[in-house]
Amino acid sequence: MGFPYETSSWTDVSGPIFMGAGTSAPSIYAVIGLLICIGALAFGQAKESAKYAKYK
Amino acid sequence: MEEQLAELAAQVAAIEAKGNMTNTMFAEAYYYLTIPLMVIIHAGFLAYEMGASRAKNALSSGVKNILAFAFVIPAFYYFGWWVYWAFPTGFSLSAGPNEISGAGYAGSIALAWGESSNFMGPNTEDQIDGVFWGAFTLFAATTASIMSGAVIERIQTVGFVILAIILGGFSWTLAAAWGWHADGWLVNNWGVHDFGAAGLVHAVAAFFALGVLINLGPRVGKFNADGSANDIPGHNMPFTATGLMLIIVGFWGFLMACLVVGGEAWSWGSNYSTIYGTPTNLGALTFNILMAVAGGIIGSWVFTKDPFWMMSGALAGIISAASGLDIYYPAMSFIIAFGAGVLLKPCAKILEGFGIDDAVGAVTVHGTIGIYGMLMLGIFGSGYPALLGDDAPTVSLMGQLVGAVVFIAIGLITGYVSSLVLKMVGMLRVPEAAEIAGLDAVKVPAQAYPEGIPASAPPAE
Repeated sequence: MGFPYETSSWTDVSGPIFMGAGTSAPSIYAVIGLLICIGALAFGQAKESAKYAKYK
Repeated sequence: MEEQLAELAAQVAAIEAKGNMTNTMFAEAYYYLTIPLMVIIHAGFLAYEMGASRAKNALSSGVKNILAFAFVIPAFYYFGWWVYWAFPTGFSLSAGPNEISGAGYAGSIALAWGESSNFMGPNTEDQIDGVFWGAFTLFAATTASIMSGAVIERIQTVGFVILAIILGGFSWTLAAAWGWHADGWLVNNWGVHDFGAAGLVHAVAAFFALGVLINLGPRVGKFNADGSANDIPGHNMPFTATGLMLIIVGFWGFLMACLVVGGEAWSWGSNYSTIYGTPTNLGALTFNILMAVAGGIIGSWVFTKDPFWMMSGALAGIISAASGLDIYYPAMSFIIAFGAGVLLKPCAKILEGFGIDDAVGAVTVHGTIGIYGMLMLGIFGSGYPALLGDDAPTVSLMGQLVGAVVFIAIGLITGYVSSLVLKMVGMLRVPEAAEIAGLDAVKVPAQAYPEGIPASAPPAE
């Protein structure tokens, strides 16, 4: 990923400083994070339904 | 002489730059500190809900509450913040009079992808968006916690989390865009004034919960065949009362975050203001919050003598005065809050009479009292300018009434429809046998009281 500025120093750096700034990486991370949330809910629902099945 | 003047000018510029930086750092720290204070609201709701549950459901109620907090945060990061900036003028997504709203503006500052991501992550030139977003995220999480208590002991976990995401990421945010944002159509067209969010947070969340409760139904054993209601006490009243006190502590942070700090490019002026740009300060809040807490407790105590309702009265007191904390005289806050404390239990009983099982009285405390508070400001605050600037819309009873109806509709419709969909796909309510067995035994791999609640060892001699 690397430092998003064309320098090896913090001197004169201003603006976004997060990894992937100015590239498509933040969008990719955002989508992955979103998919994790959806996946966690789907997984949780499957496990929860299995628990309830014993009580139906 | 010219050299001396130049040197002096440079020194003044340096002092001014330092002063500006100090103000910027103060503003950033101000909102940053509201966030942990608002986390205390969630500690309170956690304790409150677990205490209000029967022992067999204590941990499952806690799990549900914790998950709501966890999922609302990314929901607000991914779309809630965008909703707040995109929707102020209505569903047209067009820019408002201040040109800080609409889909174009929201897309440039509030999305986690593209160029907008520069404002949604660490940025040396942006010391406000992170903490603003954080404070609003905690507002969002608070709405989910308000709904959470009402539905305990019979709602499915994932179904509830989906409802929390919709409420925290969309429903209340839409209300805030319309009734809080400087470009909001309710503010500009109707002079709606809801400084401390009695309507746009509390009432929206409570009526969302009511919509869910209609589809969810009451707990097993709550109502008898003749329609009469049974009391289902929680297993730990001290825990519940302490939780309520923690919620009140946290609301100091919540209300603190409703102020706009002065002196910055995004500020309304050089001093504190409300989110509408109208004047206020922390002193105004202090006077009115404390008097409202007292009024609410006393009002509840007079007719109930019950610590649960007394602490609920404290919260109701704050909510009843929240819309006008910036302009009430403290004795007025006390009177309005006293009225809220008196109204609380009878209103909860009326709701129960309709067959609604609101396990913690959330609909009454946050909904009925939130609307009561908005209308009280319409009566007493009529004629006050609702926004900064000449020819500003003014507060009126009609405007507050319109705002209240809109907030009720947003909460009720989105809560009812989303829970109806979950009900249709079997994700809303747990099976009856599971409810009777207790949800901890069904799905929580931990035990609330593995040793029971044993008597403590005798004191040393």
